Amino acid sequence: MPKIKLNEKDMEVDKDISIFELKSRYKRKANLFIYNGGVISELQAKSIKPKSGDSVVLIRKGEVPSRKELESLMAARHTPGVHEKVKKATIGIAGLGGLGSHVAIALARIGIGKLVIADFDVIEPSNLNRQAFNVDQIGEIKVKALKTNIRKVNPYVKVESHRVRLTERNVPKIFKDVDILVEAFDVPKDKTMLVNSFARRYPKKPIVMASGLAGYATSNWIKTQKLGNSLYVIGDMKTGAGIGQGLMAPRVGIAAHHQANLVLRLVLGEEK
Amino acid sequence: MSQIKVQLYSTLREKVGKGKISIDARNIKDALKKLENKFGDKFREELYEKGRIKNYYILLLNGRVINVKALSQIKLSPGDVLHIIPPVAGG
Repeated sequence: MPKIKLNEKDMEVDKDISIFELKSRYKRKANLFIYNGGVISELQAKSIKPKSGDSVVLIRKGEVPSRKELESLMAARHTPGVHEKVKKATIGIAGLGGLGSHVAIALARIGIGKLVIADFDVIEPSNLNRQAFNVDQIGEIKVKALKTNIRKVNPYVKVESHRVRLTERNVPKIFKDVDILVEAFDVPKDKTMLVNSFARRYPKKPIVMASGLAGYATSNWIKTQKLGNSLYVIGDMKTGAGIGQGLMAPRVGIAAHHQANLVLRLVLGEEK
Repeated sequence: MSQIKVQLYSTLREKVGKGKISIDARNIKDALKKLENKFGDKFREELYEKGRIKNYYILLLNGRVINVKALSQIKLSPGDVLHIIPPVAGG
């Protein structure tokens, strides 16, 4: 019997069974057939009989996969054992601008367990050059809009949102249950307030900060450094936002994804 | 008096033209005074405002965030590492 991958699951199927017959047996409502990475027609699905090593994906267009389906897809895509750790993690994100909104989306895509997001602001037209929001969301409250966008990527990520201006006093309370805190503010004194406030209360919990990501200088200057026992800094540490050095999607996005990847590495125990 | 290592970052490093320095000091306040003596106005203007450390500076001693309000009380031991970090804008 041929051993194939059906919707990312390994299974043995009857010899000479067609892809169309697989649909009748395993996913009756499917109306899209993908065979070894390419879309095929219904007519082709009726004639192709998968062999060992082939991959078949059956999809119903527009369908939201169940939690179980989505998890098994991620478990199959990610290295074995990775998803189990990722789905147990709780990550705090302070500030939902170009950094925070993209960190949240990246972590939602890999199936992080829970996000605690905080920002007081609303979406302005000038935000759209780098932030993970859409034109039809202008004027919306950022925490609310981001929650919507996260749901569209992965409806099973738990999101705790706080529309609040973060201060030295409320930071330890809002982020008390997070495993790792991502600093994603714009203004230097806010970055420092967050680091000082969180590190004093939770000295062993990692803080992933960003500094130096404006403009369009080479992206190779952006790097991840561990500066303290639990403080990591991402960026080139010199290119601040200002006249002639605007914040733009490419470099901000690179820094945000450095932050998200560092969070992942910390969750997996790859960074100490 | 203990010999410690100091690492300066970002705009502060650019202003004084050096990133790593060894100095002898008793406590953090003393260490900052020594750096001020060594680098002069460039260092003073970059780190201080109205006699206080600017509110966006992060100071780490041996990897731990330190309270900038109690600098003279933080004693130094030989081999300690002090990081002085001014984050830059953008997010």
